[in-house]
Amino acid sequence: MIALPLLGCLLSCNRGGKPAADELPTVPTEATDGGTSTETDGGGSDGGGGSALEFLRPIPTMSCPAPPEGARVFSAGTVIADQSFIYDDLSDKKDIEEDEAWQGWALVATGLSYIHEDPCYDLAYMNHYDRDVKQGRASGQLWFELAVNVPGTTVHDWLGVHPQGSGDMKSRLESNHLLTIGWRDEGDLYARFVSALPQGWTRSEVCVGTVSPDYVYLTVLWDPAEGPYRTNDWTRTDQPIWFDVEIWRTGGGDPSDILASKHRSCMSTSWWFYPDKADRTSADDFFKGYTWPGKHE
Amino acid sequence: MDGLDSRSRIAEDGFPVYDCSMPPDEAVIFVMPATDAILYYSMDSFEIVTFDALASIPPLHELITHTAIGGGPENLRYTSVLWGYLSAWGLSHPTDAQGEQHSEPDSPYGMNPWHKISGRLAWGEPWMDYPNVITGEGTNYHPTQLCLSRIRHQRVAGVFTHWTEMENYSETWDVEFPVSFVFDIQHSRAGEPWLNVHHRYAEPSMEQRNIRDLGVVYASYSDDSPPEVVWSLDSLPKDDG
Repeated sequence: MIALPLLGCLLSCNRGGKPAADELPTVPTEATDGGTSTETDGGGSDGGGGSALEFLRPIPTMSCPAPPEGARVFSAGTVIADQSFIYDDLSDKKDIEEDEAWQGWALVATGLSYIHEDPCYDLAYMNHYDRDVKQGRASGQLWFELAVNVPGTTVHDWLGVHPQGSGDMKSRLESNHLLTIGWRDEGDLYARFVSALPQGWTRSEVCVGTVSPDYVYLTVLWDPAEGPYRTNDWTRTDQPIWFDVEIWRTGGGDPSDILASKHRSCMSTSWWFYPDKADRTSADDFFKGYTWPGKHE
Repeated sequence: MDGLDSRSRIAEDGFPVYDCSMPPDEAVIFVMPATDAILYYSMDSFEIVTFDALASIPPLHELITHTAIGGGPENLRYTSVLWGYLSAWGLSHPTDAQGEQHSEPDSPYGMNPWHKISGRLAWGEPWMDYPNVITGEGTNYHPTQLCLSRIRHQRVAGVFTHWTEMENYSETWDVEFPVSFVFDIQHSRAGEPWLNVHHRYAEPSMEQRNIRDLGVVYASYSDDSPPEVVWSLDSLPKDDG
């Protein structure tokens, strides 16, 4: 059995990439079939499987860069996210013939710089989460829209800093993302926004600190590059914007504060395997041998 | 379009890409993250049969309900949409349609590609009543610029800019400022959406996709130009490759 203090630390200390992975202990957990204690190699899809007492290692994480000096900085509050883990066997496919062929991790996340009074699951419908900002009732706050696709088949592939690529969201070679950040200051007639633009007109990057079926931590930087960028209010801005996001699964995943995380963060997790393989039956199969914050049991 | 010139270069995939002009400094810029489209390819033509694009990530519902003109004001409020179609012909390869062109009063829909693209802005006061950026003719003419930067299988990226011709300005319908729509129409859905996506923490229904996604592009090819031929580097004209 896991000692409760150890379990508590495991679930609450690791805030996705903020503390280093090696700060977390290796934790033995009982496998369902009983037997002797074994430590797995902890990585990829080959871990687990048959050992009686399985040692689960903390999921690898990545420390993300701090915001640049002078940036407008916030931490996301309310967030609504959908993530997908895709494994498509590309071995016998030509690039063009298989429209759907891709493997990697895809995340769509929209949210706010503050915690909305309404729970996230009530705000997801019809995108109402951003109405207070856009209608001027949340001066000084921001909304964001982010979509990021990262190719790969292991958590190591997905971690780290991902700059803007060529824009191909199904690229098998590079990560790509879409980003818009908006706000409406007091006295403004309407909301303003900036976006990640192609061709190097802006620079932006997404750093994935932690990725798991139940918890994601990432940082986002939007930079007007050689700008300044002119917003839709013809306001020039040369200030980068940086924010970080902690995303917990729908229903509350933060063991240290389930009610708060349930109110604040909604994330669905989906997975799609082609062909369906016996050894891959859920998103968790990308993470065999690991444990992570708020792990669904 | 202008064809290959100094603004064309070979991209990492071996096919040419065109560097579009940056949106005008005074333009309102919309980036369209969500798109639905049908594209048609042959070796000597390229066509966008139809497309819809939304300037925000749609909620967990069909994208079309948020871009359809008849979708009702609530569906379109606080975002913008772009839609249209396009046809290019006489090409040596679909990527020949890449390039940039300005409209003229006597050719308001461009030359080649011929295109009819429209947009609506509905992102809050004072533009709650769907001001348009529609390219029209005669007294409804407004200059536009279309740039296609990257045509690929199930993908076309570019910029469409609309300037209001103040002589033809209508307070009811037009906006008085330039608007640039930056689009990257592509098939970006992750996984098969309907039946084979396994999910957790989401309840799909016939009206809901399991997860939010960024849309779907359907590609069609002529019988004599299947995708593996069109998108073989050997298919490029020698000058391009």
